[in-house]
Amino acid sequence: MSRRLPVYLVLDTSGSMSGEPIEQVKNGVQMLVAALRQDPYALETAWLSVITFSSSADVAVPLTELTAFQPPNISAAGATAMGDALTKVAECVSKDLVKTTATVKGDWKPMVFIMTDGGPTDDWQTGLARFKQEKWGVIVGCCVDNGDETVLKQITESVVRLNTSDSASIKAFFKWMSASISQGSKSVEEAGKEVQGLSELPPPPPEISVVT
Amino acid sequence: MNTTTQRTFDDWAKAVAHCDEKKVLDAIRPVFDMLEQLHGEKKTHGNIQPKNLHVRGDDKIDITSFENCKNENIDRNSDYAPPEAQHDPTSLPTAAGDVYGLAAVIYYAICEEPPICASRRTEKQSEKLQLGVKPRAAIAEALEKVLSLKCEDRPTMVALRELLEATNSRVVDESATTDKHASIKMPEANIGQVQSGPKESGAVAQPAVTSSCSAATTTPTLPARTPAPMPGSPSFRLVERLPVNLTVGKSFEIKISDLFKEKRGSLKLEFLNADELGFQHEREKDALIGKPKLAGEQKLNVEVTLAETDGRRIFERTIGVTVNPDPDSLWKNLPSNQSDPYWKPDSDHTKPDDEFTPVARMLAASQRGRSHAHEGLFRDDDFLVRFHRATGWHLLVVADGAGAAKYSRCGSQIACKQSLDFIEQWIDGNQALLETAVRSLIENADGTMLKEKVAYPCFGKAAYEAQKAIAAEAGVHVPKAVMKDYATTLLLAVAKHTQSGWIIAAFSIGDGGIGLMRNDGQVKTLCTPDCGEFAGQTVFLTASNVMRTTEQILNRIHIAHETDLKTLVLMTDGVTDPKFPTEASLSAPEVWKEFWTELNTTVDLSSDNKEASTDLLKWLSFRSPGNHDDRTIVLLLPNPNSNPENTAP
Repeated sequence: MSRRLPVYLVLDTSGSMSGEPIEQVKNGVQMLVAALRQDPYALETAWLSVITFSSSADVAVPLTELTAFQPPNISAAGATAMGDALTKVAECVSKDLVKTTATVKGDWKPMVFIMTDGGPTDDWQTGLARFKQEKWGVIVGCCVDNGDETVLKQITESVVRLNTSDSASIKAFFKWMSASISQGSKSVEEAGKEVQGLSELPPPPPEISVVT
Repeated sequence: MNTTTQRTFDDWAKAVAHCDEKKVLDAIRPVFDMLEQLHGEKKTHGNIQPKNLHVRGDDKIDITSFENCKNENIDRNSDYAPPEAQHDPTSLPTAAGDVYGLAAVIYYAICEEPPICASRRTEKQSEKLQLGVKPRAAIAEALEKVLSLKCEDRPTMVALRELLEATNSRVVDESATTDKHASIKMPEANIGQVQSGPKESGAVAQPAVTSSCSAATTTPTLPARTPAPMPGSPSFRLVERLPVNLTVGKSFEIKISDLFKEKRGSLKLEFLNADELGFQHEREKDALIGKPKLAGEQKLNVEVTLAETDGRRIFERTIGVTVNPDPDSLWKNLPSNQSDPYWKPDSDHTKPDDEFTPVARMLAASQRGRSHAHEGLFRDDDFLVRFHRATGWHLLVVADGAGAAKYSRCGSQIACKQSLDFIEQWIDGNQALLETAVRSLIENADGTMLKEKVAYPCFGKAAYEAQKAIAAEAGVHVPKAVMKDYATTLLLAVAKHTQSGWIIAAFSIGDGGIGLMRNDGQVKTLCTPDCGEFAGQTVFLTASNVMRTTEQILNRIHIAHETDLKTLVLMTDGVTDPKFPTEASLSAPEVWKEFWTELNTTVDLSSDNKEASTDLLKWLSFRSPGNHDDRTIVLLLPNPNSNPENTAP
């Protein structure tokens, strides 16, 4: 097996996402996968996992190669257990990833996209501590509506904000994520290194602003 | 953060309503109120579909969010759009269209799938609907009437509501006087023919699949989800999408039983568009097989026929199918820009005239990688082989221009040429020293002199000269360029056959690999891995810190004395990454064996094959997912019949 670029989508599915936003997130995941399947770099390199969090975090799709990915059934209800989500994604990475050793060339460092529309309702610092134990490639935090950007900023330097939570913005975000994953796949295959921050990702569309 | 429990109508219908008509009608009542008011004001909603409906914790539709999306982003091709909107893209939303949309939503909630899309029904000339599960007769009648294609036949919103409420209230009355748990039991009078199957003559009107009165009385409590089929009567639920994804051109086989979530009784499947998708129904294996033709999200149209005592019922369903494209089809092969000053051919290989020496053959090939071909970029790799006829030294070099450096294709070319130019000169001027050093290695098994007095000055200076030449090129480039723009690796080896076997010295900066194989299968690496701290990083000839100390240079030199040499190989990382994926594998005999077996069986390496380098080039395009870099390989193949006496010791 060639070296994989693991990608984790960590998505807020709390009650406040219900309605149009969650529908757009579902569509977004499908659109993202369909777009990546058209990209020869991503098709051969990127593996995708979806972790959702509301009152607790769940692995909606375990790390799966793009060709085998099937869209998860996502619905919105409950609170915003971001700490649990951070712990869950860290545990997945520690379990999923092939480490580089003398005899095996391991996976590329994972890309993570965390999307939330609220502030954490659980002990997120404990989750953050666990999260920081793993090695990550680029981590992008994205806040929608009341998403707490100060919390995301403590997780990663790279935080963006959707100016509105309407369907066009969410769609634009998924499109940008898909372009970023393409970029990440190309970077590991061509340049042999992971992308590190927002500056190495495609410029975000007008619907997305970078939080500085 | 808002934690109010709200579900999409879709989720709610699946999790709560369970095809329960009463629950559906109760939940949807506020929608009727709103639409009746709108229509009364000569307004329309225009955008009625499940995704626009959200259900509150009390199982009622949240009317505010529904109202907010009216006449917004109307999807004329949705399963919920009325046929007239599908036929006329310029038509405005109408009240009759709203009636259609709401009826389709109710149909969806009861059957868990939308009615056959109006546009498809017209194509098939079939105006008849088939409800997958069995709602009460009046509901079925009302829905069928609304969903029939003609908008002029449609009842008004008020009339639709009356029709539906009438049945609903009767059910409420009934259940109030009977078992409270029996959510779907219904009086015999309400049961009617749902579909067009022939009636059993003389018998009480019996629904084909709906619960019969006898079923209702012998089954005291029905699980909420069960639409109360008659014991033994056939029923089914298909999966929404194929459980596995397919790939264009790749055979698959899926058991028919895996297409069902639930299946009872005897039924027949027909795949209506199987040919179009490249699928076949293999009846003997009872499987769906084939080689998909079309990539993307496809829909497999399925016709299910239920055979029953009182007739046949036919249902049309669709199953989503994800078909991956053939990865090869996604890679483009665009030529590089020939008018570029640094252009060089997208592939290259040695010609027989340069390959043969009295004692060996040197074969080399270099192929632009798929990732570069995909974007019409240049081949950054390079190679060169020469034979120093006067002394019998074979000179071999490969170089890999850094992908991120804009002129690296030129850097690698300069590095190859300049280093060999210098080595030739150095040999010319140091023949006596060279011979003494070789003799010392052969006679005393001591390579120190060869390494420190020959290889160190010769290779160190060759690399330095290459650096200088690159700096000079960068200096004259317009616009101004720097050394880093020409970043390249450099892997070189010199080899000479003597009566005591082969003497080899090698030198490398950057990734890729140099190694040799003996006839007994033993292997030896002649390079020190130059990986950076993190995976994928490497060092380049053009970096200022690669040859700062004597020790740094000596560490890059490897000496070998081989009496049983099968081949000496130099490769850029485009070959080593897929074939020798780790540092350890480059010194693992089993990995080399596999590599050699593949190469030797694909390419006829015998001296008779004048096309060997062309064949080697073809081999370089081997498929390896995730490995699309430029690939370059140089082989030294000792001639088994060569006479050692022919060459000077």
